[in-house]
Amino acid sequence: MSARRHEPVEIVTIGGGMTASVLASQILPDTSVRMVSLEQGPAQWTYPDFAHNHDSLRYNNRFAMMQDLSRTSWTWRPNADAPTLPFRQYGSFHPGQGLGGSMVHWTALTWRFLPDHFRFRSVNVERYGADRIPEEMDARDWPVTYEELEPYYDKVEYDIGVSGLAGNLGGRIVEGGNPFEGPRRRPYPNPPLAPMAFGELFTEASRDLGLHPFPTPAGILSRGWTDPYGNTRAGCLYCGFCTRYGCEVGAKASPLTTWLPPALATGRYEVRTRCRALEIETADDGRATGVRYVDARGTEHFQPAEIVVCAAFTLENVRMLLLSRGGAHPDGIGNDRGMVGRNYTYQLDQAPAKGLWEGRKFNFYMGNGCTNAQVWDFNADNFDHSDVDFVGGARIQCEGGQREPISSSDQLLDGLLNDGARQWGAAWKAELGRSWDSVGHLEIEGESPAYHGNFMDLDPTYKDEWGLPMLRITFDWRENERNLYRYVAARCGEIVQAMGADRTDVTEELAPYRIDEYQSTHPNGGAIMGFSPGDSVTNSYGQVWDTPNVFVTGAALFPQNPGANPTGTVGALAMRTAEAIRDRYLAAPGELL
Amino acid sequence: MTADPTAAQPHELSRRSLLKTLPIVGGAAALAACTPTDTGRRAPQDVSAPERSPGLPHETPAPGRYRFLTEEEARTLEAAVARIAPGDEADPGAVQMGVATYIDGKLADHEAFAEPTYHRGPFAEGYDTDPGEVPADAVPVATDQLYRYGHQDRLTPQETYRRGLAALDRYAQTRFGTLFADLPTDRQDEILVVLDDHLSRSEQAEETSVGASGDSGGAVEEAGGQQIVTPPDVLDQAEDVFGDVHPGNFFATLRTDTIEGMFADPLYGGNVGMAGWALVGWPAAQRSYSPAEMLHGTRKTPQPMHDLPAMNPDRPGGGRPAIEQHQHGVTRP
Repeated sequence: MSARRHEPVEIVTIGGGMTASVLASQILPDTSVRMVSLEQGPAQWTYPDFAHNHDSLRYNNRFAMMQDLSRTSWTWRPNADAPTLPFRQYGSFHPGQGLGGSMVHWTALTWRFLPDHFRFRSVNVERYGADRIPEEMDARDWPVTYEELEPYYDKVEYDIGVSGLAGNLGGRIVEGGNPFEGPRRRPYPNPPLAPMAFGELFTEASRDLGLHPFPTPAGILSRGWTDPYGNTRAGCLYCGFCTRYGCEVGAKASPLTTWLPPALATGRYEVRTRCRALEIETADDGRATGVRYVDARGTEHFQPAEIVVCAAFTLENVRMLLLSRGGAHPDGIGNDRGMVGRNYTYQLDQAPAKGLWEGRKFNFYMGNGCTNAQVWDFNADNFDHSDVDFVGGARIQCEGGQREPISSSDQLLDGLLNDGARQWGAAWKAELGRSWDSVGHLEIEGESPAYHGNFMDLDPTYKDEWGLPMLRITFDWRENERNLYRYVAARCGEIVQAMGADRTDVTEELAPYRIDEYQSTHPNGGAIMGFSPGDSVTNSYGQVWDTPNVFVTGAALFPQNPGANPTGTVGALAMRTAEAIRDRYLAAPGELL
Repeated sequence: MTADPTAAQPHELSRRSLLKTLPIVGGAAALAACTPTDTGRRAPQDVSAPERSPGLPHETPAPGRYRFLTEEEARTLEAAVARIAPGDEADPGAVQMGVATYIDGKLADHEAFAEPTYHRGPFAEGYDTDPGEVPADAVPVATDQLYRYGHQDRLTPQETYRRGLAALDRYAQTRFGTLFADLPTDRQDEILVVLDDHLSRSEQAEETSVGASGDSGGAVEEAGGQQIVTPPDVLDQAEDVFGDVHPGNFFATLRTDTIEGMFADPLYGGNVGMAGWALVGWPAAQRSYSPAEMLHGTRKTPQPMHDLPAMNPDRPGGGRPAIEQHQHGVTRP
């Protein structure tokens, strides 16, 4: 069957989510460029689509915003000697589909990585010696520095209207903010979100312990805001239906609220929904010529373009490179030196400590995932690692809001009932009724270093609906994460004690990775950026070394993953790539160095 | 946020059905012009928006009228969920909340799965010592590793319930000589403890082996797993009687579905009288809370999602400009 051939455009992106909309909003308005994005999911808008979505069964537990696993999924094995099985139902991570992508259902914690994060290898070698980095670990510096990215972080924060309290204004440490952050040129555009009772308790207790608590910076508006594009948005209503839902008032930033309107207003941006990319086609000289895709009716199309951008979720970006095995790239685009799929990293997201405050109600069902507080005293190299047996660290946060009973009741009372009591029956039900709003968690988000043994490739067995191989993830926790977890879990135990819980439960050791338990939607790496074609898939702009008219955006570029949510950095890198394409590449296509 | 009383109306009309009732004048052009810049009143609110799957129930289940389960199966199911969340009229439990009706509706509405599920083979088969013992068309996985891969069931939920409920009765017959629903509650609990312990065993073996390899000492005590009181031979016997249904996983399914049926919106057939929400003190779907409510609590009372005040951006102060978006350019070939 021959594919329907479309008019050529300058840029085609695979994916109609966050980074595609960043590129479109930055490149199109001041040029004559035409851009097409291929989005596998449906169109969706703040109004009316999210106006009535407070259905926790459908969204929080049946995953209505997520990719349709019945058509395609991923496979996993803990190591290369273990059997592989598909990710049959949602567990470890939740990639979204639909216009705006995963950023529509995100939790909205918005970070800048620390200056040290970009020099991960150097920092550890300089301070603790090369032998502190385990043999099995592939520790790297990034090909960009914090200072280079600062203007782009600033742009993202003002575009989406981040609510937070600065901790470091141009080198001056500001009381109440995160004192460990890199210097920023100006404060966050909006004040922090309103606090919740549990966060106040955490803040007080951790301050008493000599730590430095601060309110979580959020891509959710704490007040009405008109952004630099003229989008007017409402402040958060703290309704409690946030992560895994679209925001009905547009307070939670997403491509729908921010970058799509100015991009679509140019009239030169088209997002084709319910279209699934099959392959990036290449010419004999190895350059990409466009994308072959299939629409909702099963009709094949070909969209020729001068630039192809892999702007889907991390996992699909890596898969698309591997699936594109045209003549000059028999092992896939970007893979001439076998680098695609390497440095797969995740995020050490766990809840090591919980407490029960008898008779106390915290209103956990209000607010969102950012109406909380946290400490970065044990993240990155913010504390002396001389006497510990690991590199890196984790942030510690108290639980925020948005609790709903279906998903929370399953494990809420684990470890908190009397000996011998089971998590069902009359005693369980009575305690659930008494304490559903009285149990709170302390959570960590830790560094996930890269290892030679953790990687992605095409699965030899399992195929998607279109007969294409699915992506296989080979991943498990290693000694460094177990040691890091043990140390940070003990700190969580100290904090939960200081918070005065009547009953506590601390999980002291990290269990083996299991793919059925939600941890975070932060699978990273696989198409990493680096300094030269021999050590990476792309340069610091996400431009693929061996196919320079193909770009990759998103967290697939991260050489390893710091202990912080990726979206802020994904946005900053996309801003930098957009600027380089607009101001340099379009005039003189070639390597951006 | 105060609701506009004039906006309150039934929400049964979906956008799609509304479009069907519109005269087709100008066809696609008229639809294309229907951007938010139009000031005309929009379609009534639709609880099923956006049009994504999984959607809402095909019909709201009626208490006691089963669409998938047989009467016998429903009786067994009711008896089982009654032990997971016991109750009476004064303190409603799973039975009073209509959990069995909820589960029946879920099974009737979804021939396959209620949530997105990859269901292509090959499927996994556990082995204890020799990978060669599993059939050639299956993926052999050490039994004590299988839990790490999550849902790997070859059976659909309909098959799981059909076979699992029959197995529960078979097991009750084997142990105590009578059907599960006819046993006294302490005997029913004894049986569910066996299934629960079977689940724990399937998730704890791995932790033991990690501890034994020396790189994670103490994992067993700290894994939060509950004490297993059932002797291994009794667990093995349950496994034999249950056949192709995993006893522990069947118990986990029963418990998860009980929780869903207690707390999902009454539209799905359970949570009768919003008793589940009353149990835990959840005001359920609300449009907003104030910063003061976040610190000090609320007096808001639960309401089913159909009664949630409609968003109406066209009312005075409704915020139309805040959600107006340029939509031209988003297509569906």
